[in-house]
Amino acid sequence: MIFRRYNTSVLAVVALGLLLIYYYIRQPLILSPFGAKILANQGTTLALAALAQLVVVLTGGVDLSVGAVVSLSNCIAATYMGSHPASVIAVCVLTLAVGAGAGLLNGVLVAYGRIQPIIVTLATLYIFSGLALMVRPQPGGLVPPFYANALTGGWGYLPYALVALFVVLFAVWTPLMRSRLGTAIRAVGDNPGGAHMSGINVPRTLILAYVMGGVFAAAAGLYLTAQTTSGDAAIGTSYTLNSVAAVVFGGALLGGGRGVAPGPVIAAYFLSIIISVLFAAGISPFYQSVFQGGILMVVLVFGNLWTLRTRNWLTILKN
Amino acid sequence: MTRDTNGTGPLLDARAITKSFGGVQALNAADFACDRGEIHALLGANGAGKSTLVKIFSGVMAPDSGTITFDGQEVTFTSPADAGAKGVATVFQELSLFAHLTVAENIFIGHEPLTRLGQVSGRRMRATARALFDRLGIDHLNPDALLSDLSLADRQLVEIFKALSRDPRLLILDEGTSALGRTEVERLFALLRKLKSGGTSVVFISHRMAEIREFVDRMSVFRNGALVGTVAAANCSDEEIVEMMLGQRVDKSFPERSPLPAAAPMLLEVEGMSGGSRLRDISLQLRGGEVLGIAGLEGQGQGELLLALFGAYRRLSGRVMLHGKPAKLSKPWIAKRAGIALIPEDRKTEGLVLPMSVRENISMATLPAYGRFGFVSLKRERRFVAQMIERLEIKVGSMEQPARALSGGNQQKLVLAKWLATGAEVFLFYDPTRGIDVGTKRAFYELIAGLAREGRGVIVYTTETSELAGLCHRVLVMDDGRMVRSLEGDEITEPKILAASFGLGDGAKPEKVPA
Amino acid sequence: MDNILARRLLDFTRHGVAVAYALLAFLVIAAFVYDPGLASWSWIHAQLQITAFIGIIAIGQTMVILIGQIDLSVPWNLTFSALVMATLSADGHSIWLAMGAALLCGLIIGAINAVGVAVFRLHSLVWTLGMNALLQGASLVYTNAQPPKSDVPAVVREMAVGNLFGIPAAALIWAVLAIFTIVVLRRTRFGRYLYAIGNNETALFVSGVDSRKVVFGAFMVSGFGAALAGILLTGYASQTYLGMGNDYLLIPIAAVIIGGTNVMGGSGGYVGTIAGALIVVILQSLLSTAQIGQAGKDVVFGVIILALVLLYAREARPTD
Repeated sequence: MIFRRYNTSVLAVVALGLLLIYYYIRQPLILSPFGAKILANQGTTLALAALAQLVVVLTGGVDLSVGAVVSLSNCIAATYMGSHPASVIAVCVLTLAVGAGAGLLNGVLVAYGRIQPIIVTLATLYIFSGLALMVRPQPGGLVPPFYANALTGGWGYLPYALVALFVVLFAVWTPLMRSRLGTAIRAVGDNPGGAHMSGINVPRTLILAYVMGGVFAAAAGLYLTAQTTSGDAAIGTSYTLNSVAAVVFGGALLGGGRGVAPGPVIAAYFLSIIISVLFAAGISPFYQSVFQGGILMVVLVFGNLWTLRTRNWLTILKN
Repeated sequence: MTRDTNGTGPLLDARAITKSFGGVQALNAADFACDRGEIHALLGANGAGKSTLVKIFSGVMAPDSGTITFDGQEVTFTSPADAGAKGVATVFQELSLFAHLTVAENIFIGHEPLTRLGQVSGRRMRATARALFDRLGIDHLNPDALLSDLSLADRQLVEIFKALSRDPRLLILDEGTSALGRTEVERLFALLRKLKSGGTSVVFISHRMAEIREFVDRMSVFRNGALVGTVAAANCSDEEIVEMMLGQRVDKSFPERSPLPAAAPMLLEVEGMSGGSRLRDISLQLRGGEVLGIAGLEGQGQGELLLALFGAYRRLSGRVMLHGKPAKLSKPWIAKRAGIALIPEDRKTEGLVLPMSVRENISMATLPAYGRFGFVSLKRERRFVAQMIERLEIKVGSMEQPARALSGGNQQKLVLAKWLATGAEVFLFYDPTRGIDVGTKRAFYELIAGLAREGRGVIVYTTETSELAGLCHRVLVMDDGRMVRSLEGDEITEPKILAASFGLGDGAKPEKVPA
Repeated sequence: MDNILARRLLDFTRHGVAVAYALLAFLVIAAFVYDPGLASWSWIHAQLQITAFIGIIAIGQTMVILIGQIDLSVPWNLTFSALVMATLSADGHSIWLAMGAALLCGLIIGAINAVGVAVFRLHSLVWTLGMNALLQGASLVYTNAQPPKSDVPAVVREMAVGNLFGIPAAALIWAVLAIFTIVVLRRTRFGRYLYAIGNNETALFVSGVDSRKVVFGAFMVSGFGAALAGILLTGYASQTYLGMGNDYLLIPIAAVIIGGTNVMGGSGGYVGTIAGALIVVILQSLLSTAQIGQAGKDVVFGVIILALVLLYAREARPTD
């Protein structure tokens, strides 16, 4: 059944559920308007970065430049935003356009340059973080309070962060993935040769997927700007690993073809909130990376076990 | 429903199509014409050029020369998308489906019905898919099921529906029914006849001749890359078709078969081996000095059998004895140490490391022999490789040439040289002469006969029936992962092997072969 | 005539090692022309000193890239191993024991990387990325984010910044390892198998060779190299600190790629990597001399790698 496609998200949902229950036992205050806001704000940047990673992973690639694009858009937004609402909107659009441009560069190099996505995005990772450092050599910048509040505030128990995320999910992500392009993206990741045979324009599909990835990463940067109200060229670094972790944890298949948005988004919240939970549980926050790296590795191993069940050594090798 | 057509000639008319790969001529001035509204079968032994022709018609590859007229106009099919737009839909031999998409998404990939907002309409897609299923009387397929959950037969149905959904003028089915059961094939042909009455033409390729011949209008037989003739299916016997496929008896001059000494030692015994993707209860025996042939249609488990004997499968059941002692062939290096050599199916991806040199390829399996402490003495390696090149008469400019630069036949000799170097006792050949020229083929026959004369055992699977007839002391026929026939002595003739493989004549009553 | 010249030029650019050495020669000449003051032993000495660390890490990275994989766990492997040495030595253990433990640590990390790649058949990219994060956390937990501040033993300092016959000791260590690496790649079974795996692991497997052992070897060399670099960098900086490995991820990979090793594996070698390592170091030094900041360096680096990869490491067109 079609719902089976969402089964891959179950692990993330259960993990987040258990985490929140444990957190509530430790710290009942999270069940308050303020607590809900804090929780939602914590994970939204990574959730958007995970969407950026997901669309590329669906094509069978991986985008190591996600973190750098987050930094770059954070620096651009915090540096040029100004305080007038018109300029804020203009700079937001500009930032998203820069993200699209970054994705375009990645996509063209992968599709027409015929270079492995890993190498392309490893190189552009340095280009984009260099550019971020040029825009903002020192951390700082100015973000108008209304902008920060519009994205990080809340109305009762409803954090604006979730509203923003839902707008992105239902007004942008879902329509795109339900268009022919969305099917083409999954088809290219699933079986590139078959996609070509079925008349799909593979390079065009790849490029558009990377452009989408760039835009989502820039959106993550915009959210981060509202959260930190400043720009920092180094702030995005951790989002590369964590977006990959969220995507894998959220049930998408590295290698392409399989993955739906809810899993990675929920996994992103899990990976973000676990830091506070560790703190609340009295575990040293130093364990944060241990958990993030460890979860990624464990999930990878379990995700691949079924492939290893194949009886033919050659199939395993050619995989 | 009839279509607008230009002119009244054949729908598809291909003239003098030529295509070669490297040095091998796949199609040699081949002609083929398919009328409007007919079901036309394309027959021929393996390597006759059928699949290449289909790939040209569907835009996957371009011919070297020749003209194609489609619906009265000369055309070139530049890509699968282009061929599709012109009205040609193909069901490919290698499935072009997507494991993680649903059945409906697979069927409508690239031309999904859209809502007014430009979204893929799941509802219309499902409804259209169901309508398609109904036309074929299929009620067990769920449009929302994920493809990865489907059986091979159902996937093949999806592939057929995918082609049908484009409402093609010409539908090509390349081995499109190999996984389907009898009733499904019948239903499919019922539908094809309906399409035909609407003006659609169907080109059908299948090895299961017995199954399909009653359904088709005409048959074109190919041999060695050219058309032998086109006949009406109704007035042509099995024997005539087999003869057309085989052609005039060309003397392939096989080397003298050395008689098998009565006291030949037992090398390899297999009992009740099952596992892999399809092996079922395989038993066989191989003596020193014996050439054992494996026959059958393509893809009946022959490749799996050879791989299994070479240790490429895990969790096989059954018993294997080497030199009368039980052996557990669970990894290739264990099989290698036990004296087994495999000349694999695809020399380009499994046999050789193409970018590496002739020298490095020949010594690949025996590096420890050329030095101590992990080092490789280039001097000893070169000397040995030079001997091998001379012994097998491999034509190379220098041993430092990349293997990629050699002809197919010489590449295959490299693979053999690699294994001769190990001093193996049992040689497994998977279609060793596919795509190599006649002269080198002849050299290979000599080499195989030579291995047997030296007292080694050879198991050879080949798609060229004449080779089985010319080389083997015994031939086992495989069907669907089982051994179904054993041919010995006088029975080892081309027509008998072919008939047994196609399940015709005596072969129609398959019996289990006792070990 | 032009055609032949153009073809020759094209053939040349496909030969990564030749391009790398040409680029190196060009860079050195450009440096001396730009600032004649650079043409001195002290400048060369300084370059060799720094290149040694990168060159040592690039040994393992060359092998890992030759088999078509990548090791992204170098930065925190380096840091973690250095921390192990520093802590043990601060606790009063002999420096030899401490160094041995650090190197063992690197080997074990390499082996765990190989388990993921060879046994579980995972993308080395994400597996080693996860490993890197794990080690980052482990380093924090292990030292409580307070690396030992004790003095670095003299042996370690000597290895890193000492001189022998006027040549940096680190560069001499590198030279010995480099020669060893070149011999291993060209004259041993292990070396031969590395190339075979990078080109076609299936064919090696069907030749009856256990390719998994080779993968273990490559990753363990990489882990060992990262640990050794960690020890040397401790001597160089006279301390261990968190994040000391951060600059040692892309630079060695860039050295390998600029040196003409195919990023998909199967061709190239350490001779090219030596040129690649010198190029990245001299380039950085020139960019610093030209007052170009970290930002400019990053951008220039990314662009150069992309340009070189486009030149000689493109995938074959995906057609049959």
